[in-house]
Amino acid sequence: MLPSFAILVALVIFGDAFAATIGWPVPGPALGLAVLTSAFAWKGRPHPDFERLFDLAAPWFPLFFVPAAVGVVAHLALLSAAWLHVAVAIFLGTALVLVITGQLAQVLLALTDKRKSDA
Amino acid sequence: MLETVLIHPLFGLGLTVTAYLAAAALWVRFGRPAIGHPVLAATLLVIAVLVVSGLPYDVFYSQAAILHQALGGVIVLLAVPLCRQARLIRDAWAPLGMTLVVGSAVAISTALALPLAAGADSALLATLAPKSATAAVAVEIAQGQGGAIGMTAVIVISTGIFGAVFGPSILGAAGVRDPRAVGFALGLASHAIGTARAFQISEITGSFASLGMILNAILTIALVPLFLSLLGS
Repeated sequence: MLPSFAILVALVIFGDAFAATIGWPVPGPALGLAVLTSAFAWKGRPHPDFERLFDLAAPWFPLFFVPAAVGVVAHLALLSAAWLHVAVAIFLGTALVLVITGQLAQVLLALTDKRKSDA
Repeated sequence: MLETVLIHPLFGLGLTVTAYLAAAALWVRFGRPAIGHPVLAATLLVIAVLVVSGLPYDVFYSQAAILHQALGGVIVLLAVPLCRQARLIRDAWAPLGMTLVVGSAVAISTALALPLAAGADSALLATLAPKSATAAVAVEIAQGQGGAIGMTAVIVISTGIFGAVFGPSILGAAGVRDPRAVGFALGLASHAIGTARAFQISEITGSFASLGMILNAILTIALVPLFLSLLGS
């Protein structure tokens, strides 16, 4: 599992370095993700070591966001000038996006499933 | 002695992990209520410790930064579920593509609606517009459009926490049951934090959330400058 961990770290570092060099708005890890996905697709399935690493980390994913979330509270003053606009966008805006996206995806996926099972 | 503990280079890491474990245990104990999701409870717990101990946020952050930096590795690891669910994803590309375009446009419009109606300046519009994209991408977009990037980062993370904490209940109340649709909506609306939450529901939900997050990040890069230039003319 350690080699897959080393490869993971290397993919993040080189992804970041590459993105910074070419000045893309795409974050480095996204490039690493593209490389690893392509490698798995080429092999036909994910490498078992990476699978183990993922299965180990997946239930704890939200933990990694806590330091940044604490930072939000530390920097709440940044929002004071436009707090109403910000609050409406975050609460109402995000709720609307969730409902519209979820409903639309559900309806369209059901249509596709039906067409597939009819065929 | 206490002082030495607080400034130990690993204190922030230990505090965050311990707070998260405690929050997760309480969450399970109380039957997983939305409002009690550990990402929120652990954050409040850490803040309480910082306030009581007087440890400055910058010092805490430097002690816990390894967790934040590990997010890059987490993103790369998403290759595993995306490949495992490749067949389901391939079958869903057409409905997801259509949903993506609508969802991304709704995410930007709902962020801009009130400031536009109130006649806010263009810097605020640029700050708010990319709020549903993942933090690194949103900050990059806001910067390019003349927004306030510190504020964008705070808004994006808050959006993610809101989606992660309340998203599953909102989708349930709206009658969205298909795990693929639940996941796609969580990832599109509330990026990586919503995606992390989606993996706690199921791997299918998480994989479709990853997809929603990635695709919305890419489309938001294209759509925000377009929306803002249309509004500016």
